[in-house]
This record gives sequence, structure tokens and C-alpha cells, in this order.
Amino acid sequence: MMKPAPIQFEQNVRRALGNAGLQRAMARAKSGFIDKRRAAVSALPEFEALREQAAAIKAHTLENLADYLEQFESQVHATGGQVHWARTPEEACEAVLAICHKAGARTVTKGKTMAGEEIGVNQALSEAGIEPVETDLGEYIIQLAGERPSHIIAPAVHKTREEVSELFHHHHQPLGFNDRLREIPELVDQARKVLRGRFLQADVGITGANFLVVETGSSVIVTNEGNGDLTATLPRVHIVIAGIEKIVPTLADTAVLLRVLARSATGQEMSAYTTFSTGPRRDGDLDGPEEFHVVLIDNGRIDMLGNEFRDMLRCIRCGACLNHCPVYGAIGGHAYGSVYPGPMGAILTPAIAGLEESRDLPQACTLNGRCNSVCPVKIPLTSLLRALRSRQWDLKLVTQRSRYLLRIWAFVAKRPRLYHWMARLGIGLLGRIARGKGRFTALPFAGAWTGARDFPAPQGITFQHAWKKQKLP
Amino acid sequence: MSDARAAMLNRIRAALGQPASNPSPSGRQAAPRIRPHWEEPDRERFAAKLAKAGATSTILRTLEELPGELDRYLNKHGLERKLLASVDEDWTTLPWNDIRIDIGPNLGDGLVSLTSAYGGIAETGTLVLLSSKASPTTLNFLSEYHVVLLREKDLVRHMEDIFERMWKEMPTLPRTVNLITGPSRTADIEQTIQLGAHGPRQLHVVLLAG
Repeated sequence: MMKPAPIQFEQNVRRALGNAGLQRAMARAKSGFIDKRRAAVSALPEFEALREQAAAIKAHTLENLADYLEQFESQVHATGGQVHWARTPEEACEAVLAICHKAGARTVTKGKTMAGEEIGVNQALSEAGIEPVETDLGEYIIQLAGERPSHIIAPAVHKTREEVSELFHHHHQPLGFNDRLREIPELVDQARKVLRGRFLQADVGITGANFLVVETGSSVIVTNEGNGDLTATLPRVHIVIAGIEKIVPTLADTAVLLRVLARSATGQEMSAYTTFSTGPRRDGDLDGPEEFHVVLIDNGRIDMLGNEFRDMLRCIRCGACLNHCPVYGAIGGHAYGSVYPGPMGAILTPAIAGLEESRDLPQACTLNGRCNSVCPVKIPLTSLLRALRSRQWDLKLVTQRSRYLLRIWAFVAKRPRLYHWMARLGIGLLGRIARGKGRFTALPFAGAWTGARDFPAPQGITFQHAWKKQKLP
Repeated sequence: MSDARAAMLNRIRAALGQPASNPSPSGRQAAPRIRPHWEEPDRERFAAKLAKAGATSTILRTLEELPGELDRYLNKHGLERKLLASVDEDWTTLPWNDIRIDIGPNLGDGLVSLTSAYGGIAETGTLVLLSSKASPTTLNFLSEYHVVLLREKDLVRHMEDIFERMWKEMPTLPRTVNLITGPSRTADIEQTIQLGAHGPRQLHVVLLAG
């Protein structure tokens, strides 16, 4: 799958900003996520301390990742499951396909899995003649639309109910659902009816994992709909697809991470379903899969473990950084052109797909730092984005024009007297021109800015000048 | 695949600066852990959190009251008088009168299920259900109405308490451990919360006192 063409970020952004439906959907979603998280966090005085502990647990695990992976594998074996190791998306898809072929699979139900998106498992299954059926409502909607998720926990956040209504009408009519539905409860209900049949007929179920617990060999999924559980319970074979960084040493560690995960993601204290799956069904069990497989994926993660981006591997995929990012809020997830959008995506995508293909993503950030302050595992996202920018500079992935301008700026910035003199000159000039208006509606060389909003006019005097004038002996 | 395994583990150890041939023991110092604190009695906390998660609950003094409670519940929701149930040695002998009880998994057509919880977590209003030959997982997800019996002695404060109890009582985890907090829900269309996405539309908890 994804050795993608370079991401056309600028074009994507232009399209997103002009898309009225997307803008409506994003405006609604943003305040919802932010308010719910804030309420949940302020109701738990221990939240900050838990964040510290969550970060420490993940950091410790990464420092000992090889040992923990080996221990996890032996626990999975001990409970009757199998572990598959995959360096690349291709190897991961091969492993999944081999299991499906052996099981004689014709349809596969899927719980929501971002790792599955990352390796392109749906495409691999389809090409092998196996039908993948997404069962998370959001994932189902975008599968019908032929799109990618635009948010890691709310894949269809960019869709309005009218768009969903249209999609369902189009795709469900052949199944005998003739009425065009408008209300959300009706739409949810129809999806439930359509998918119930698919659950019962699937041969293999694929889920992701929120955590892989070393001491028990369990995979953990955290969901609200129950689709992940039906996916993991009904088919004969359960396959878990997960990045190697999902490892957590103990159940007690998992408890700490669960406390910060749902609050950060949806503002819930616990999601409706937190499920630990350990091996296949046991002797005498009346339901549950006969086979349990875990596919462990590298795909760029081991490189990150050895460089300055290790902290990014603490990520528990809650989506809080997306929800609090003004850039993501303005353009939505698709503009990032990759599986992982927003601040976490701007760091992960270059690691997975290569910095050259995703050169605009580290720039899609104002360094306002809201993502850092809400990250439940305290990833210094903006520092990592800055590190990517300097890496781009070193690799000469910055345009000639930007390099030229930055050199001039650096020359000036390293000479305080010159810098102050120029600042006074510029600010004084702009202040005089704008006198009375307080803002510019058009400026030479700044059309990109003033095209969408006014540029505030300077006061006419620099901060340092004002400071000097005030600070009388 | 075993090539990939060795290659990945070697590269991880190289990235971490650890010797490839001599895996170091993890040497973990379990730090003292902070857990959420509350003042009210656990039973009150549990019921309040259940309600917040969209579940209903009731308290019974004796198990003999269970058929009456189910009778009321089925009537209230206008449901057929039959249940799919897990095995619970205490309730199969109860006088169920005209309510039919079938023991076994839900193959897709069971509307109401009755199961018993391994435990409850007061911290979050969470039920803990374990899969076993007596307690199939499909009962927790395929039914539209899910009624769960929880004995008050099995109510613990924090999630960790349930894990500790499981470690003491069983050599390995069962195939499925479900932590259930409220009925099935989705907010995937316009962030509007809708109950009964794929799992039960209603979750009713019967807390057996004492």
C-alpha cells in the first residue's frame, strides 16, 4: 500500500477551507470534544498525577521493549495464541492473508484499527478476493464513501448527517431499505440491522489493540459500540493488528492508562466496553474464536525508538491533540493526506512514509502548544515538530525561497542592534501607514494572510522602545 | 516470519543500546500508584456512575426477589417473557413461573439476556464479566436488553482490585474479560450520542445486597 505520492498539502488545505459541509462538521465536533474532555479532567483531581504515571509507564516499556515483546509472545503462546512479526506493511498483510486463506475466509469483519489502515489491510484483502466489512459506524460510513478516516477515533467526523443519509440511501436500497432516513437514531438503527447479518456470517474478525498486556498475553480494545467485541467473538478466527509500541507490562499499568485514555478521547470516565482478549476459546466455552493471532508491526517504529522521536511512541491514540489543534480544526484530517492526521500525524507520518513525501506536515503547526498540554502521556509534540523542521533543513527539504528568507532573517536576528533598528523602522512605518485603522486589509507580500483575514497593525513603537521609555530611573 | 522476528528484536536492542545476545531483565521498580479517591460509600458511587453511563439499576435484598424484578422489567419494556441466561447455580432453582429461561449462548435471536457479574468497580460504575462455559460472551453483546446480577460482596473500589482478585483465583485470564460501563453507544454521526449501536440498547444492573 502506502508508498504514497507526495502529499499535496497546499491543494488539500485550499479544498478543505472551501468545503462548507466539512467546515460545519468540524465546527460542531471541535467544541464537543474539547468541552467533554475538560469536564472529565476537572472532575478528577488526580488527573495530572495520572498523566505523569502514564508517561512513565510508556517510557519504561519502550526502554525495555525487546524484553517485553518476547515475554508478551511467550504469554500469547502459553494461552494458545500465535504471534506474527512484520517489519513492513507488506509483511503484515502477508501474515493476515495467510491466516485468512488457511481459514478459507470469504468475509472479514473489522473493528476499528488504525494499524489496519496504516498497513492497508482492506485493500490487500479485497485484492485477494476476501471482502472486508468495517463495523465501527464511523468506519462503515467512510468505507461506503470510499474515503479514509479523517480522525483517529471519530473516522467520519467530517461527514454531516445529510451526507450519511445520502450514503445509506444509496447503499442500503439494494438490501431492501427503501426509505430515505433523516434522523440520527434511524440511521444508527439501520446500520445496526445491516451489519448484524455481516457479523454473523464473517469467517475472520480483525481488530486493532489499544494495549497488549505482557503479563497475561492479552490484547485490549476500548470501544463504545460493541462492534469490536462482536468482531472478536463471533468469527472462527480473531486477528489483532498492532504496532509494537502498544505493549504494556501489567494489568495494573493498563488501569493507569485506561484512566487517562477515555477522558482524553471522548471525555468519558470509561468507554462502554473495555475488553481483554486472551488466546482462543477455552475447552468447554460455548462461543469465542478458535484461533487467536497477534500481528506485531514495526513500519518505522524501531527507527523512532533509536532517534529523537522515541517519545512519540508513547502515543495511546486518544485524539486529544487533534481535537485541540487549530490547524486540524480548520482543515480536517483528510488534508494531511495520511492515515494519521493532526499533530501526532504530522510526526508519525514522516516516520512511516518518509519526510520527503510529507514535507509540509511539520509546517502545519503554529507551535501554540495546546497539544502538549492535553496529551495524556505528555509527548512534547511541538518540540518533535521543531526537530522535524530542523531535520528538513539539514536534508535540504526546504524550498530555495524559504531557505533564502530564513538566511536573511538569521543574519539579522544574530545582530541585535541591526534587528532593533529594522524592527523600529518597520513597525514605525507600518504604524504610520495604518494610523487610525488599526488593521490592514491588504499588504504587499502578505496576500495569503490578508486574503482570508485582516493583519493587525503595529502600534508604531517596538516593545523594547516602550519598555525603555517606561523604565525611568 | 522468524527472520522478521529476529531482525526486529535485534534492531530494537541496537536502537536501545542493549546487547543482542544477553537480554537484560526488565528490573522494574513498581512505583506507588495514585488511584482516584472518593468519600461516599462504594455502593452509592457505583450506582451514580452507572446512571451517568446510561444504565439503570435496582437493589434486591434476597435472590428470591429476582424473578419478580425480571417480571417487572419485561413488563415495563413490553417484552416477551423469555430470557437467555448464563449458568448461575443460585438462580436456576428459583420459581420463574411463566418466564422461560434458556441457558446458553446468544446465536443472534435472543432479545433479553441475564448474566451474573464476576465483580463491579465502584470507581467507574463498571461491571466485570468473564467468559466461561457457564457464561458465553455473546450474551453480553447480541441481546438488545442485558440484565446483570451483581452481588454486593463482589463490588470493589478500583479496577486494580478486580485484577488482583483474578490473579488470586485463576492461573490465566479467561478468553474474554469484559469491563462494561453502560449500554452500547455511538457518537459517530455529528457527535450525537445514540444508545444501542451494535450491542445492548439497555443495561440493567440488579445489585444483590449483603
